[in-house]
Amino acid sequence: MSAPILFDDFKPGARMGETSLVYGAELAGQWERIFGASSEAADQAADLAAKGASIATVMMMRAYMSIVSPRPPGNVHARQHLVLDDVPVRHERVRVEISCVGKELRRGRRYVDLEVVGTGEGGRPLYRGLMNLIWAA
Amino acid sequence: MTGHLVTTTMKVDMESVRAYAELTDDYNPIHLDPAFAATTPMGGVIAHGTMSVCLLWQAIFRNFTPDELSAAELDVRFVKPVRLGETLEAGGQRDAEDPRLYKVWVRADDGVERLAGTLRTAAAPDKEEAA
Repeated sequence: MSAPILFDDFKPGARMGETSLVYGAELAGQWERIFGASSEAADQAADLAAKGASIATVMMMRAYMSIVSPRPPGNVHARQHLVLDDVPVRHERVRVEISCVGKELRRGRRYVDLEVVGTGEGGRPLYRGLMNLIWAA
Repeated sequence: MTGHLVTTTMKVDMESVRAYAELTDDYNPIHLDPAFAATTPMGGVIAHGTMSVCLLWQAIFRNFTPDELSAAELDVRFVKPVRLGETLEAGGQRDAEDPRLYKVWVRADDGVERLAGTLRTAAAPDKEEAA
């Protein structure tokens, strides 16, 4: 196993990698196990869209886990910014790309900024996110 | 109209945290290993921050149609860790000056915000809580 990515290893402006994820039945089922499935028709429609937006957030995390790896244990999220152009739809394959866009040592804490861009099938823009993390080491 | 968004709630326990770890592939021991988490500045297990974001999306889509949320901008800070046993409520309130801007939050049962931020929408919502 390779050494974990440390704060000093991040290079602002550098593309870190990309991965491809499918919004399949398994992800949808896992989301419902946590957030439930509504019984009322109006809420069902809302939850379908909410699930899509949540899956965008989930895909950001899954891509981060896969691309920015291995990580030192104990990193925490400080802030998240997301522009949602559209939500992924069931069975859609989404390409997620991660770049480091900044890092800063502030009050003894190591802050890292990662930009995450999700693109659906046919190049459909889905979301652009910024994850601000406190890096453990 | 009060400008308050219809809220959603969830109970956070070890089962939901484990399920969220599976959903996101995030097995950071700070969320799953009490012995490790106790050695960190958090002082114990905390839930994944983005679990609160997902709950907030659930609240947001109860209030807006997908068209109203096209190019929506969500900016949130994780202001306080979420602990096991807490019940979270996600909601928001419209800005007094800008009808497209909402202050959004996720609070625990002590009334203190765990997540706070803003939502900027393309349009005003189709429904809000009655006064």
